[in-house]
Amino acid sequence: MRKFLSLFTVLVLLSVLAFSQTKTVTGRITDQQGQPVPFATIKIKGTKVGTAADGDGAFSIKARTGDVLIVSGAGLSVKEATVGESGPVIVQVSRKESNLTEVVVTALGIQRQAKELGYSTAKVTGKDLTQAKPISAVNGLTGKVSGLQINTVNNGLFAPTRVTLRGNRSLTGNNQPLIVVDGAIFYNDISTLNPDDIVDITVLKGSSASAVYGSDASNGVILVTTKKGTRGKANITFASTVQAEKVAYMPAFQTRFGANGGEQFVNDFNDLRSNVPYENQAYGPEFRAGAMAPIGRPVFDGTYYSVPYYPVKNQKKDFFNTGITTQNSFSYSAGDESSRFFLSAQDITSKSTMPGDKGRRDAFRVGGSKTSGIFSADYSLSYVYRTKDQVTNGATVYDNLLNTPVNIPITALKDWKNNKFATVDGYYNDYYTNPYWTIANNRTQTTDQNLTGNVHLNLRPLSWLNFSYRLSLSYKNGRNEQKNNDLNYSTFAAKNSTLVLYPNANGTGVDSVIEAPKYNASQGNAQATYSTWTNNNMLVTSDFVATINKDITRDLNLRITLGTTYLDNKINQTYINANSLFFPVFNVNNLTGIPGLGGSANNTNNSNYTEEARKLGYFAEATVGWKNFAWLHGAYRTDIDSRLSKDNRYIPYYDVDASLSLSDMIPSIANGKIVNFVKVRAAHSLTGNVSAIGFGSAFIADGAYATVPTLGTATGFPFNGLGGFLLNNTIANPNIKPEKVTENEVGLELGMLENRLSLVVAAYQSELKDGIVYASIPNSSGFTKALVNAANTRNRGLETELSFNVIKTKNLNWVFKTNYTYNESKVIAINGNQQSLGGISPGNANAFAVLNQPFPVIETYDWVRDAQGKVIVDGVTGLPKQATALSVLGQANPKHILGFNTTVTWKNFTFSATADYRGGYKIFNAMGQSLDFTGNGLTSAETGRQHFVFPNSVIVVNGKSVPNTNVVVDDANFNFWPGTYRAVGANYVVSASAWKLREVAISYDFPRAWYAPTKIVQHATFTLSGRNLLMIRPSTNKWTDPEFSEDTSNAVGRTGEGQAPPTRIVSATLSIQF
Amino acid sequence: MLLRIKTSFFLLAALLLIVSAGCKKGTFDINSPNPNQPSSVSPQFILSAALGITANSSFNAGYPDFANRYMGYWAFSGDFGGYGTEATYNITSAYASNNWDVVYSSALVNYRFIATNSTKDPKQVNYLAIAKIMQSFHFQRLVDSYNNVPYSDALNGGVQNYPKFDDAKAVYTSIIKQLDSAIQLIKAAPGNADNPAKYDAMFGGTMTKWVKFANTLKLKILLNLTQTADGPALAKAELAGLSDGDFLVAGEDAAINPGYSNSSTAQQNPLWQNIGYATNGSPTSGNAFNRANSYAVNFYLNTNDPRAKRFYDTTAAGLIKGRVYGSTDGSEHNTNVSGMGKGVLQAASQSAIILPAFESLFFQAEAQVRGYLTGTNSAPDVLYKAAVKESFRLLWANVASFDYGAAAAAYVSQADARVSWTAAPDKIALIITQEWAALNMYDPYTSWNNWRRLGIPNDLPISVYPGTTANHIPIRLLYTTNEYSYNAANTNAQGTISPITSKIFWMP
Repeated sequence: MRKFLSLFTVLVLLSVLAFSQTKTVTGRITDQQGQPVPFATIKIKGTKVGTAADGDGAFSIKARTGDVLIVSGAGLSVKEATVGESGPVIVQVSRKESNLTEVVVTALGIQRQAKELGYSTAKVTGKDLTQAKPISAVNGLTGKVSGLQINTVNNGLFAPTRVTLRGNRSLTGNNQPLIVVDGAIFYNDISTLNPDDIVDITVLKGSSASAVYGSDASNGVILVTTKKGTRGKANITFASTVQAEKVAYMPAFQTRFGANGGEQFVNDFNDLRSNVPYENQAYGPEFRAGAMAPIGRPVFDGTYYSVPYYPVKNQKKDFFNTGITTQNSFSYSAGDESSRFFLSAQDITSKSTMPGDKGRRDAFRVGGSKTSGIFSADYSLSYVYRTKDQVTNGATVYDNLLNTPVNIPITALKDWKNNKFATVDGYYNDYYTNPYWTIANNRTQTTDQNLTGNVHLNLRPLSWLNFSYRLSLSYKNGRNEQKNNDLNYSTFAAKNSTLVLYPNANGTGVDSVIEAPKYNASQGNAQATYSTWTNNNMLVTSDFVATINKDITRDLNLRITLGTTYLDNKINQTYINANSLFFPVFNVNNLTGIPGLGGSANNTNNSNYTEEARKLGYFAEATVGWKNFAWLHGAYRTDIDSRLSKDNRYIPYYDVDASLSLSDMIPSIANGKIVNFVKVRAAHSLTGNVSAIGFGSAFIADGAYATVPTLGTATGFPFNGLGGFLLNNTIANPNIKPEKVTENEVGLELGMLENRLSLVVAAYQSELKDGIVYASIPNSSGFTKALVNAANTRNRGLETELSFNVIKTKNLNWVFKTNYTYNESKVIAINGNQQSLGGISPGNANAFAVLNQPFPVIETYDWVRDAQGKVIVDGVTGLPKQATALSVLGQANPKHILGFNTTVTWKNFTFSATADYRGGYKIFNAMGQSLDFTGNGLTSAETGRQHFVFPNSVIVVNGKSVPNTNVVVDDANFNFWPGTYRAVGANYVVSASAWKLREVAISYDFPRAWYAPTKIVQHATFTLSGRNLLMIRPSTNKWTDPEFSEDTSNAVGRTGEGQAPPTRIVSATLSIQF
Repeated sequence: MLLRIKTSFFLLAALLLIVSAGCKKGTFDINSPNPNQPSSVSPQFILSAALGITANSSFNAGYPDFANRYMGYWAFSGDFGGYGTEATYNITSAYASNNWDVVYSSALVNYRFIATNSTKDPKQVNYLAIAKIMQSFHFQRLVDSYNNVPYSDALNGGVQNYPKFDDAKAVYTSIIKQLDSAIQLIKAAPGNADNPAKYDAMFGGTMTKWVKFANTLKLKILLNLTQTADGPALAKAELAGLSDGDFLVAGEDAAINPGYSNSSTAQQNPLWQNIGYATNGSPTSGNAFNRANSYAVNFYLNTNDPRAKRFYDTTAAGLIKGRVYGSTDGSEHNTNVSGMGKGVLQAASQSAIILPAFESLFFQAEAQVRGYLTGTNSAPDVLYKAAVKESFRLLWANVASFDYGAAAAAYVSQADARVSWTAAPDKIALIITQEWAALNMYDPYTSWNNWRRLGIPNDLPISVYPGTTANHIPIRLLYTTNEYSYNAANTNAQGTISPITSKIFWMP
């Protein structure tokens, strides 16, 4: 600390010494829209005197009245202006569009010219983000940036996403980039931001770009800049969007066989007598047009429900609703010479495709800035209220639905209150409850509120010296309530429903049989339960940054940034659970008297947790520019992290990178006919990450106490005053250090045809060392996990971006962009000799880190195979056998991602589209297992339920494989598919490759003439757009969208019934500006 | 301009002060202690919880179920399917893995923790002794199920995360020594030694009972060695001088009960949790999956055993009816096949008896017949009859009006060689057969041990599940998936293991 202070003192003294000029001309460089143009070069004509504008376009130069200033800069047309008698000089320049030469926001909000940067960045404008009106801004980034992979892991309300840059580094830590909004670290869910409030998003892809953020930065950074108002006439914008969402793809179902779950042996598939009317599995007789079959048992009044013994068309797809989402937004923007103001509000109401699920998001934002002499300040404040009302476990509903034989008219059983065949008692299925009942009676209500405030003060005592201080606060309050109503069967169902009616052989009548009463009814009633969970999460950050930007000589520019950043994150969680309530749980207001909430401690599992962590970082950054064509940049940071022991806290993070603009160095290149811009760059950095101790949570508080050994209350304890504690199963490790990521990167940037065509290529290699893992250790050690610094992974990749303004005329403009990302990862070490690490996420039991394999890979059981990979079957039964050990069946992250974007503007029409391809990876479809369990999946009927020779199989005779041509699987019905076949996970692992048409939008700007006479309306646009319009998958993927995942953790590669079927979304938007 | 610089200098200084105020000493020392969980507790709290785990590991789902089914007590329900792995004896490393995984990482490690910590304090000698006895209890069961197991290197995570395996016989030798040492420690305990009192959820702090329990365990271990070459001599040497009263006697069950009740699932007796009823009275899934095995049902009915209706419930038709193990007859619904009876499922609050007194009596009877016990002891037939009576006592413990003594006496007085001491040509066979009949759901592990060392019951049925090829039930469990995955070198060093042919060292 002392060293740090003295360094500052020296710098301040330096600034005093440098103070020697007395008379200056000030001015500002703006573009055609009046927006500041930063970093332009200003020279006095006929002299060698010159300066550069700062990040806000302001400059000051010693000059005399009448001098001519020449303003030039990358991407700018050269402009001259004469110095007048008094007042500032405002020079308006015009920009030449190119992403190669634009100004970008880098770490800490510092604006730099793209050509100076020695590392990879990409910028996406707010307009590009919102072209198809996504609810979450990250959806709008999908397919638009190389190196960036965004997985929308599920459908539904405010669909969750997983974002990674350049693959996964940490095995169990967080691999998602740091999000920084208006300069402040934003640990919250990015989907709580209103996309319409975003000016642009800059993606800092590698850790070089972000090293200055220290131990949060190894995964790259997404910098979001929000609107703060614009100079000029105040304007008001109203926009209204209606979206319709429809299930687009369902898994493939069989349409041949009705219900039987092994209760009766199916001797003859033509004999309908073995259709079991109350069964969830479909291993029964074949459907027959014209035949009728009872479903369920006769109800209390003796009547029964008879339906055609024939599949219902679109039976399961029709269960889902058309989801409707409306977005209404309003914004106000104003500004003058010294201040700006922005205000917005957005309301989204959404009805999901899952019947009964609905949600709402209301977002408000105020932002602005004020400049007064050497002081300036900007601020933003946002409040987001989000609520969801959902069925507690969508997977249960989907599972129930999949367990519905295809002849059940499920949508006719919606009225579970009044339809006697749809009630708890009367519903046909003996083992599953009516999904409509579940939807109505098991609800989860989630409400979260996010308040984010940010004040940023700037002091610029000299044109080349700036101090800034930012205080920001992010507060999140989440509340989740689960209400499960009681499930009550009547005595009739529980005890007396012993009569079962089977269809007769040809489905023209029924035969009655006495059996045990309805199974689930005989298992007893379930009592109502209630639980609630609240989470308060507060993050305070405080940054101080000093910046020096100085031309030391005419050719040498020096920019130094020094600063500190302090974070304090505190989380408090309370969980209250009351089981076995003796009254219906809905409309619970008064909680006194509820066991566990008001009084008795019985039947509860209540808890209250507090976690807190703090971090302080010191950093310094410097850029040296030479003759505006070569730049050397370095950054250094060290953190003090409360989660780590004193000895392990101080870890240096650094970056060194360099950029050389050959076209600025050699003017003949810049004047080239074809190629006019050439830049090469290289970067090397070391960053770190500790998030693995908090199981990958971005919130630092979640990693608190991981290094402290503790004991936990044993299950069931305390027993009536008798306490009991057990050692935790994880060995805490007080010596844990941050994991370290070293990244090397080289890049080439080319501009052609006056920068109308640009090509950016980057290659990188990043290596993680000392990776933190909760390594599994054998139970015989007495523990199950040990927290260690042991993992080592590597990523290598290539990113290319091509942007081509194909046609540029007055009426027609066509821009085509494509990007390609290649990434290969490898697990080099896990922990000593440990070969594999499972349990990366509880949601996905199949994702593993396996030595010398990409990360993660899908591991599951395969069949026993011979050396040639053929399935070995038994010589008598024809049955294959499940292997005893797990097999690696492929990597779970795409090796190749190819994205396409195009925008065509013709007169008042704008057409834009985004498509992408992901390939070279696999997906495990757990849903396939359910479908084969139920017998409703296509696979289970592919052999017509008849004996068959297992495809591509061999029989081992005297130790040699002999092709199997005639030994058939002896029972290809109930005893094969739900058991033997389903147990082998490899049957559900298929290529995850897919093409997707992600976004298509056509907008029409109403001609000015239509509304000009009103003198009120400034601008009006109508947009029609669609998202996820088309998905092309290989035929082996019979199930669902391979982009889905069980959760947003590192453990990608598996989908199940927790993911609703993929949907298509179409929207219409009307936007009017006043 | 100078003013500006001065202003900014002060501002800078002020800001630095704000920042450095955040770095006061201690600002970053907030990570310990953890405000949410204790970092240390006194040993009684660990003892109570560890005993709870022992009870759980003896009765709850995923532990003894396999033995209850293989030993002819339970059969699968006809209402469900998918039992192939177990019913064809094609068991895998994932099968019944709790018996290894949870026992090591929840039961044993906590006993080891108590032992390590109490060694430092002479006042905690009782804790040390109990911890030694309970480790012996679990290690015997581990050896009996898996043969060679990690022992000397085990339970030392953080120092040794990958323990080597010890020879099964050496483990047996060591746990006998541990029991001797525990007995000595208790006997020599100083007057001011801490007593765990109610936190000893088994004997309530009565240390003399711990001594008896330790001796009974020793007897149990030694009896497993009857078929080994040096087993009998070792038994004679180890048991020399011990007499009736040194073991658990009638009425002295080793029963764990931290305060079981029906107030929540986690507080129910573990057998009740497994095959009994939810707090609201609905049958558990274990209750629905497991039914009476026709082998045991027929044995009880054929020997006029009134215990049949205490072990098993009556069907809707009022019958005690079992199901053949491995049957795939879908018409055998739960309504037609008996579930578990009110003698074994008396209440959610019942104690978890990890070593019933009758077992101690059967052990002593066998040891007498074999001539292992040389002290002043009851005759084997007396011990045998007392053992059967004890079994009756337990089953009718909550029916005060029932004269279990008379019923037991009437039962053993039948002139049936499967029941009668005098009629039985082979006393060992009689003892073991009746021990099997009494151990139903109480301790199927010991039944399995007896069958594996002596082949009794000799007509134990083979699964009729399609595809079953083995001609006897599995004789061991496989090392678990976790052990193969994370302790690969040491586990693979045990060679290829077959559940059907790889013997426990004491098997003939």
